[in-house]
Amino acid sequence: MTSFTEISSDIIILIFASLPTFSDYSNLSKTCKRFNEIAQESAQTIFRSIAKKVFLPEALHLLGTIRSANSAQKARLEHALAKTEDNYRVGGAFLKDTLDMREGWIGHAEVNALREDEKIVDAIVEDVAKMVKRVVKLEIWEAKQFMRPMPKVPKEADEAVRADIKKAVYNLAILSAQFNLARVDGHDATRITKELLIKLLKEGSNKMAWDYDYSYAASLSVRDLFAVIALGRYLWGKKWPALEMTVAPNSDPFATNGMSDFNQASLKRFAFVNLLDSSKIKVEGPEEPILKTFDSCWCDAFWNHEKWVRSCAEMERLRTVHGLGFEENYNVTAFKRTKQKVLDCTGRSTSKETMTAREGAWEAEKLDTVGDIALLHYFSRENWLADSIKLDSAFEEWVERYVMHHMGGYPHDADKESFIDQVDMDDMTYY
Amino acid sequence: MATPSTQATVKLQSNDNVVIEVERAIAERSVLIKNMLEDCGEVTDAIPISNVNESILRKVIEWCEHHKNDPVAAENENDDSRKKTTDIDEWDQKFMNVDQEMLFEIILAANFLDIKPLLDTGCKTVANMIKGKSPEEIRKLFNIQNDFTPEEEEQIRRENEWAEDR
Repeated sequence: MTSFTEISSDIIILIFASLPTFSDYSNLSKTCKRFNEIAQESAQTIFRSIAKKVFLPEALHLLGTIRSANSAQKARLEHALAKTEDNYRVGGAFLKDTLDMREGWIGHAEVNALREDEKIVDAIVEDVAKMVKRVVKLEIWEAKQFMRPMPKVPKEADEAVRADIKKAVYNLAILSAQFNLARVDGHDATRITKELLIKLLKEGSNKMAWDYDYSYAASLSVRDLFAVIALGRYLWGKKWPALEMTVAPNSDPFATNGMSDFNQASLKRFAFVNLLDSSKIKVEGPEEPILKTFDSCWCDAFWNHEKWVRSCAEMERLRTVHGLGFEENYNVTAFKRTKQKVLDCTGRSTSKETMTAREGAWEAEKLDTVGDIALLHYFSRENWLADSIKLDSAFEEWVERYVMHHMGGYPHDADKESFIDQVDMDDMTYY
Repeated sequence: MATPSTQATVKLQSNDNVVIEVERAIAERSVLIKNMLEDCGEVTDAIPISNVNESILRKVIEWCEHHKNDPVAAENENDDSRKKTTDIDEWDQKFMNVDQEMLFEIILAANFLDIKPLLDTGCKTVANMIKGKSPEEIRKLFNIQNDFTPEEEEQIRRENEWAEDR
């Protein structure tokens, strides 16, 4: 008779690797000596397999990104995290020195760091989900006041929305770790000590020149990229800018003068100028529906989720199936791929291919993409830095501005304080 | 390599000497048989499947028939594209609803015949049986003898504290 205890070790390893949680791994390994030995000997194979089931690929990517970060990148992240509210310190757990430096290694310390990080991410997802609910209420209220059709929206952020938010939080943290310190006071960055770097970061010194490597941004799908941008709108008010790729550690995130890679919402610009090659569109298809789809990608990802998902899928189809995107997903007019010397995680200077913005790349009028049109349109109606929906008290201020601007004031039976809570979610009609 | 064969069926012989004729496309769900046929070209004799008895071989063929149109996974398939959960589709769940002896025999046959999706399904089935159970419950379910001394048990409990869900 064939039983569990008689089958070969290879198959027992596969069964261990098929377990859904680390707790199940532990319980099976505690049953007998043979299983415990197999569990110990093949822990790495088993842990990696279970980790892929327990954590998002983005969570594991973030672990790898921070593990391989050099001292300058780690110092920048530590500095950024120190400025961030405690419950928003995504990636902080990975900065602990206890992590094994071997690439792709998942041990006890890594699992615990991943779990610790996930708790923070889940807290952010909850916060954003609450904001989504409030925005939905506002839309319903507006529809009722003006007897418009009710928007087709979920009552609150459902599982699919939460999954997109969660992924976006991890992606935002990965994007925030793509800075390379190029020069310090005009000198080679490899000569700087960690102590001096931290001192300069604390001072907010402008002596540091950081290059941003856009390679990861270029690898994101349309949906993932626009989800991060949408997330940025909700997190701006929670001091998230310190972690955002759009803000270099020595730049003022709220500055509106000057154009740099970092202090003018470059992820949005990146999305605009890299999505579709207008030279191909002029030849291959009508501009109007494409621009309409492009515009729809900006509708709120998390409250009008279904529509947004459709728009992103259509945009992806246009780029790939119709070949209207750029070769290798980036616009050579705006960006360049070059080999440059960067510090590796051991502190040595190594040659690495990075994707950086060309000088003057952000001057949109010099570009020739579909993004130009959308970019200029966007500039004409909105301030890049003032479009954020803010949380808590800032949210009420935003609501007031919204109500005054779009509705000409509050109704008789509502005021600023009670306005949002008066919206009855149960009245909502689904279309 | 031999000239590719156009034969429509092949014969498989179980270790209890029963010959079963199956469509070649179905038999080729097994990488072992597929490679053998590619290497040998036309095979008229029954292929001996020495490690598998008739009832298990018929069961494996039933699975291969049901999944004959499934896309074959690429050799170097990226790990990230794999199913992330222990979900098993409904048909496979029913298929795997057998006694433990047969379940492990199917797993062994899938391993021998190199049918990775069937092996994965079998392992996931066992994993689902273990899911959420204590060590004692797992021992009871699979008739596993606890051969730890109390001291060893305590030591292993301490070593595994990190793994508990918190």
